Parts: sequence; structure tokens; C-alpha cells
Amino acid sequence: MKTGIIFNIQKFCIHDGDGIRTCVFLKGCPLRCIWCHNPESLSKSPNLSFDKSKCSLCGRCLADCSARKAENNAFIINRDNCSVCGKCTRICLNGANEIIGREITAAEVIETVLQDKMFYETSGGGITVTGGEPSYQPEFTLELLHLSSEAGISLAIETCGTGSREFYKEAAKLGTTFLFDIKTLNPEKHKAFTGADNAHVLSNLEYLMQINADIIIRLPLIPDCNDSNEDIAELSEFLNRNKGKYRYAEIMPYHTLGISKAEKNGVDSPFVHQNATDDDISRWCSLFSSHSADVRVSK
Amino acid sequence: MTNLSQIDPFLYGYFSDESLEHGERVGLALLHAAKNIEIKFSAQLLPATSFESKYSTSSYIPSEGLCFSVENILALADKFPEHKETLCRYADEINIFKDKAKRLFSEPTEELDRSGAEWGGGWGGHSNPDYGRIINYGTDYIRNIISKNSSAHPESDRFYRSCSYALDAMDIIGERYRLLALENAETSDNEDDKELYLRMAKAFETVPVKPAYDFTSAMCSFMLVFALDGSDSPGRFDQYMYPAYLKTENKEEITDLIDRLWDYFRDKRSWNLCISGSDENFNDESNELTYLILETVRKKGYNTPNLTCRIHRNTPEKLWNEIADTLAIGTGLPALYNDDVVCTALEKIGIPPCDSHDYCMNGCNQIDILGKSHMGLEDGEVNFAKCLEFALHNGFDDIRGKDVSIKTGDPKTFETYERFERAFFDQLEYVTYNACSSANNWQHLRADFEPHPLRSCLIEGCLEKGKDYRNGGPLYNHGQILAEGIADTGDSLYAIKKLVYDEKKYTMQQLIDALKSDFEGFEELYHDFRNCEKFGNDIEAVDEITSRVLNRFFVLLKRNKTYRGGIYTGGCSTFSRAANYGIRTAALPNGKRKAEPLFADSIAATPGRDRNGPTAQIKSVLRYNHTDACSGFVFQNKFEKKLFETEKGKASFIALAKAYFYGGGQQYTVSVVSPEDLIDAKKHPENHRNLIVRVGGYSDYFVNLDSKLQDNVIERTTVNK
Repeated sequence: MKTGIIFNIQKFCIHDGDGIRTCVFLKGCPLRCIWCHNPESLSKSPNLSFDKSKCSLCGRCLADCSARKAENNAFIINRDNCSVCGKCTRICLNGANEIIGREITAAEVIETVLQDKMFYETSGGGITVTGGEPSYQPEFTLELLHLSSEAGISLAIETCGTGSREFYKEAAKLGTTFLFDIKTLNPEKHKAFTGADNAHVLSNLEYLMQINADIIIRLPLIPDCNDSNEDIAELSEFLNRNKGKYRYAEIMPYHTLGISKAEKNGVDSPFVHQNATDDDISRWCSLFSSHSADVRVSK
Repeated sequence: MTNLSQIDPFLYGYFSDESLEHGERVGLALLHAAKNIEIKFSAQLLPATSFESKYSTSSYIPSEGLCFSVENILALADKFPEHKETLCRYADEINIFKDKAKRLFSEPTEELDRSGAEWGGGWGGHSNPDYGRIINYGTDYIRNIISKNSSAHPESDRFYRSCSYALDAMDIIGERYRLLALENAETSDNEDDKELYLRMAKAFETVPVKPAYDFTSAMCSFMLVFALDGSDSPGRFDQYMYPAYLKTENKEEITDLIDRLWDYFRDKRSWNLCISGSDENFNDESNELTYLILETVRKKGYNTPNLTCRIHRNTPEKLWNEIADTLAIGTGLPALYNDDVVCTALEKIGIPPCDSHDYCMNGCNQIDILGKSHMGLEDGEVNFAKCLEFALHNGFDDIRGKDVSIKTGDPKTFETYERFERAFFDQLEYVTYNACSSANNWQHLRADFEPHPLRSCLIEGCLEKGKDYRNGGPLYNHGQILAEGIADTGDSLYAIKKLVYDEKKYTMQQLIDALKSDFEGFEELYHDFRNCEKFGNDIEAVDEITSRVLNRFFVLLKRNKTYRGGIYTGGCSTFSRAANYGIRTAALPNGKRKAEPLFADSIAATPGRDRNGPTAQIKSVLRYNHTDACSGFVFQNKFEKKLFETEKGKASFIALAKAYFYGGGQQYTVSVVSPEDLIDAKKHPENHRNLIVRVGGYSDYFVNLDSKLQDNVIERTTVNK
């Protein structure tokens, strides 16, 4: 029986593939994109999330804890000492503590996903495996897709493209729709912004296009990072060259939802930027247009 | 010296023969009013005159029929001293009449009413007269019905005379409009206006006595009925106006008249207009008028009339798309009703499919059969949570600090959850029966003292049986009592079962002490009860208890007959009244504090308790049996406007609505908000509890998001504006 580590099952997702979908968020990602809006997903194992805005400093959580200490009228957590036992989540009356990530069987996940079957039926929706990075728990993800397929719902995964060739091959065989991120086409920038180079990513994308998989290209655009005129010219060239081999491309404008989550989860987040503005989006659209590249904007 | 018949022709007519019975005198009042009240064309040049006297001393309104204002009559006595004696005598007589009515029908359940546990009957209600009867058949046709049936009911001769007076009144006003239209055509210097006046003058040569021959004459007929009946609910306008639509070659005339009508509705404020629907075989009944109306609503953006749209398994995709486009403009119109569920519900109480498929709504959302029933009004309401409070405190009202209801036992002695639930059901039964009984009292009063001769000509059954609209005349006379606080009660019962009886974490004594002290000193208990599983999260165990409570209510209702000759049925539509019920209810085991203005809005979860998003809430709500609700069973969602701005977003919305309806949902009210509303939603979450927004990768209820997330959503939608 396949188990994996997930940190959320989110229903009524209408921007993650066709129709009304349920997203299953897998824990763990090999990349460390500086702009990540799911910082709680990065480590493969469960971790503690502490929301100090909900903390009343009552101190009930300190009693049995080796990681938390009171200091200067605040609670400080030493993450190295946190055994993720979960006691503080049960004892807090304000809901300030949460363990992000739990082990679960594929069957249990699918049982939850299928609760919304009636909505998939009227909308062509289904499951979207995301995270984190689905290909980072390849057997678990493939099992989720397999069980979903048997249940007659549509399949999708959101991926940064770092998985193994085998994984993508198997997923494609099941008829999965790939929401495939292109962070940037520039190898140096890719390394600087995500911590890894992109040759492998692009080769996986080429492979999927070659076998006629259903692909939706995702372009996360972050102002002042990967949205320069050259960047967009490069992307346009790529999109135009491969026209017809993917369904469509959509811009994902940067948003700041990740910043507060980073703090709660003890993840360093030196990257600070504002939400992409309407002006940013207009600029991107006209640039793509000037290169005759067709893109949508995900609002 | 001004004649009394010109000062207030209603009074004059009503008192013109005091030897007659009340019903016939009402008819005479209408007849004299028709001859003497001021008639005029509205700003939109539509013939719109309602039965109202010049000095607001008399009027004819849908919920009560003929009304007199004693206060204003006495003021009139001062204004016209030559008639002072007469007017003062009239005022006295009217007071005696009202007093008699009051004495004969005092309410048995005032205490329960004062506690906010129920009310019954105090509202005369909305309705949907058969406009088509006059428009497509004419008043002479109705006179035929009278003559065909009056000999079979000699005891009702006074009723028939009264109805004849009402019909004559309508014809007289029609003829006066013909002359006024000619006059205005003469004096008008605007060519378009002149042309319209002449068209209407010609129309009034035929209507309302004979059937309309085109859209202009149909509109004239419609306006007469609508305004004189009291400007209530136009009902299935696209259906009864369609024959005239087909007979009219110049479609521009039609568009122009609809335009004018909508502006009139905006000025006058009208109620429910229902479009589309299906016949007995579920063939779609949308037509060109259906789409024209939707287009007009989009163009104008008014929030009146209250537009509803009937959908069913064969609703064309084109209509679904136009519904989504219309909702996108943000007025929350149309509200949607599902024929598959409503017709089944009506058939379950004995209405055959040929009539059940003629349903429409009136007022806000009450279900009615167009031109055949007196059942589309709220006869009363029952506050479930107050019944629970009574059960917890053995009949004691913890807000008012006194014994109000029956004793159903001391819960501390109950050994099982089932025993406790039975006490609650005993309270529910007592309060529900009282609501029905109170409503019946009022119905009896209205049957004897509030005849409605004009309505009686417009609702099938009255003339055939020789009985007034309020006296059991219509074909269908069922009643509607609404449920309030369903989710709050279900959540509370579940928490009691789980924490007191199953897990035995707390004793009943502890719970009752905590409730009485409004949870002060019981922080842990409060936390456990507040965070116990809640309705609206797709959790079967909670939903099952909640659904069982509602089912019991529906059963209790059906055991009660209405005075006017039907049975009681149920529904739910709280809207803004939710806060008020919350204030009148004490602390509850779902974590509500004493007098906290927090209550479930209609059939949805208690605000803030639905944490798993809109699909989970829909799944919970579908565990109710919607085909047992013959009154509006309201389910509300709010969405961001931008959802409707892309094809994908619109398609998602339509898929969600279809899933809800195909899964057994009866009704869906959808509001759409602008970015500015989001800022207001953060400040006043209680006004936006059903608002669903996009949060990065998914969509969820705005008011459930934490503050930072809310700010983020606001910022992303209002950026750079």
C-alpha cells in the first residue's frame, strides 16, 4: 500500500486544470525558488507552523516542549530541537500551532478526493497533484493518478519538471494533463533563482511534447527577476517554436501569499517584493504580443 | 363644496349602502373609486394608477385588500369641516369593525412570539394573480365564468356581485384611460409620445374587456391589473405576454415597452418576476421574451423587479450562459429555482404536474402556482434554536428570565441522547403547532374581514366555488412556515451527543451551568463545544442529525391544516433576519454566546463554521430533502466579479450550479461583488459571509481567511486602481 506525505487537500480549485478540481499538496520539493508561495511545502518531512498572531502567550505549550522557549515577551522555537510531536497543536486553545505534513495512504487521499465527484462530473474536473513537487514522491503520485483514473475522474499534475523521465512517461500513459512550469529558459538565472539548472527540466518538457502529452505551460513571472525584455523574448521564441505541442501558455503573476507562511514555518525568506501590478501584467502582455506569442493571464 | 365621493371615493362607496355585508361594500368601494380617483400615466407613459385615495385615507393592497387609515380620515375631517360629522362617524364605524375583528381572534401564543420562538399569521402576504386571464381573455370572459357558476352557488350571490363590481371598476378605469390617452395625444408636442398615446387609446377600445391583440394592448392590460391589484409580483411575465409578442410585427415597439416597464418597476418597486421554466414533460419554455428580459436586466442594472429564473434538466446552454452574464453585473439577479425539485415537492402535496409546472415566485422567494393558489406567502416562522433552548432549560427562556414554554423534563436526568432529542422534538412540536394555530387564527380573521374581490376574479377556483380568495376559493390553499436556525440547532445537538453522551467528556450539569453563565469560567468547555464538528463541512454525522431535525419539522407541519383549506409546508429564508434571531436566543452548545447576533443564513452553515469551502457546504446542504420544502429553500453564495469575466470562470460557476441542482438542490441565490466590496467584507464580515474569492491557487470563503490573507486578496484585486 503506497503512502506519502501530504500537507493539504484543497477542494474547489478552478484555476488548476479543467473544471472544478481537488488539489492534493505533496510535501517536499527539490528546488528552492526564491519566490515560492508555498514555503511550508519545501521540506519532505512534517514541520511545525506557529502563527504568533494567534498566540495569547498563555504558556500552556511550554510545559512539555524541548523546542519552545519564552524570551522577551515572545515564544521562540528552535527548529532543530522540534521533534514534531504535535502536543502543542492539541493543547493550544487559540489554534496557533499546526503540524504541516502527515503520512497518508493513497487510498485515503482518493476517498477524500472522490467526495467532490459530483462536481467533477458537471465540469470535467478531477484531481490535481501538486505541492511541493509531485515527482519528488513519484510512486505515491503515480498511485494517486492510477486510482483516480480507475474512479473515472480527470488527472492533472503541477510540476517544475525536475522528476525522472520514467515518472513523466508513466503519468502521461494515464492521460495526465501536465501543468508544467517554465521558471526561466536562462540556465544561469534558473540556477540563481531556483538552486538547480534547467537542462533536465527542459528535456522533460521536450519529451512530453514529443509524445503528445496534454500540456499547459505555466509561466510564473516575478517582477525584476525573470521578466526582463530578454527573458520574455526568449520565452516567446520557445512558445512560437513549439506552437501546437502544448494546449496553451499562461502567465502566473507573482503574489505575496508566501511571505507570511515562510515566517510561520521557520523558513528563511529574504526575497521581498510586492504583488505584480496591473502595469506589470500589461507590460508582459504587450511584450509577448510584440513577439507574436500567444499567452493567457491567470487571474 | 367638494363632494365626498371626490375626496375619498372608497369611503363614499363603502358607506353608500350600509345594509349590505362587508364583502359587497368592498366591491362598491372599488366601483366608486374607479369612477372618481385621479388616473394618470407614469413618467414612462404607462397607464399606472393604483387603488389609492388622494389623501392616503384608503387603499387596496395585495396583503390586506381594502384598507382604511382612521388617523388620516380624522385628519380629513379637519380639512373638510363640511363633512366632519360624516367622516368622524365613518372613522368610528371602522374602529368598531377593527375592534370586533381583534376581539374575535386574539392570539393564543403571544408569549412564544415575544420570546422569538415563533410567529404565525401576522402578514397577509404576496401572491401571483393570473394576469393572463385579463390580458389574453378579457373581463367579459370572466363575467362568463361568473354567470356560469353563480346559479350553482346562490348563497354566494353577494360575493359574485362584489366580484362584478371589481371587474366593472377595471373596465371603467380602462375607458377613462382611453379618453386620457386621446387627450394627451392632442396636447403632446413630442411625436413619439403622441404616437404611443394614440396606440394606447386604440388599445383601450379593446382591453381590458376583450383579449389583447398585440403587445401594446397586452401591456395596457397588464398595467391595469398590476397597478390595481397592488403592484405585487408579475409572475411568469415571459409566458403570459408571449401570445401578444407573437402577434406583434414591430419588435421595436416591444423592446421600447419593456424598457419603459423596467423603469416603471424601478420607480414603483415591484416584487417577483419569474422567467423560463418547463412543461409537464420538461420541455423548455424559454422564449424570445425570456432573453429580452435578461438583456434588459443587464442593460439597466436595477435590483427590481426581483428576477427569478426557473431551470431544469433541459435548460439550453445559451440560457445558462446568459444567466451567468446577468449575474455578473452584480445585482444578485436572477435567483435560480430548479423545476425538477420544486415540481416534485408540489406534486408530493397533491398538485398535479399540469399545475405544478406553472409555479413561480412572489415577494422575495415564496413559491406559488400562478393564478391558482393562495399559498405563496410566509404564514409564519419557527426558531429551532429557541426550541432547543427551551429543551435545555425545561421550558425556561434564558433571555427573558421566565418560563415561557411547556415543561419537557430536566435534561440532567436524561440518560441517553435519544431521550434529550425527544425533549427537543416535544418543544419543536409545541412551538410549531402554535405557529400554525396562530396563523390559522389570522386566516380566519382575513377570511371574514379582508375580502379581496379583485383577486378573486384572478385566481382559478374562486368564481368556480363562489368563495373569496382568502376564504378557500383558490384551487390550492396550502401554507408556508419557515424554519430558522437549522444549522445552529443541528450543530448544538451533535455537540451534545458527542461530548456529553458518547465521549462523556462533560456532564449535562456542566453544560447547562456553562450556558447559563454564557461560558464565563468555562473556557475549555467553550473551546470543545465551539470547535466540535459543524454542519456545512461535508461531515455525514453532523449533517445527518441536522437533516433529521428539519425532516421532523416538515412532518409536523403537514399534520396541520390551514384554515383556508390546505396543509402547512416548510421552507427557509432568513437573510437579514438571522442576526435578530441570534439576539433573541440564549447561549447554545454550538458555541454561540447569549444574544450574539449569529445565526445560520437560510439553509447554509452558521457563519464561519463552514471551513471546507463551497463544495463541502453544498454537499452538506444536499443532505436535506429539498423535495419536502414547498416554500423557498434559500441557499446563498457570493462570488468575486472576476470569476465571471473569463469563459473558464463562467464555466466553473455554471458547473457548480448544475452540480448543486442535479444533486437535488432547490434554490440558488448568487451575488457578485466588486473589489470595493472586499474592503467592506473585511470590516463587516457579517454582511459577506457567503463571499467566495480566489486565494492564490484555490477559492474559499473570504471571511474564513486570516487577516493577512484577506489583505492579500484585497490588494491583488484593487491594485493600481
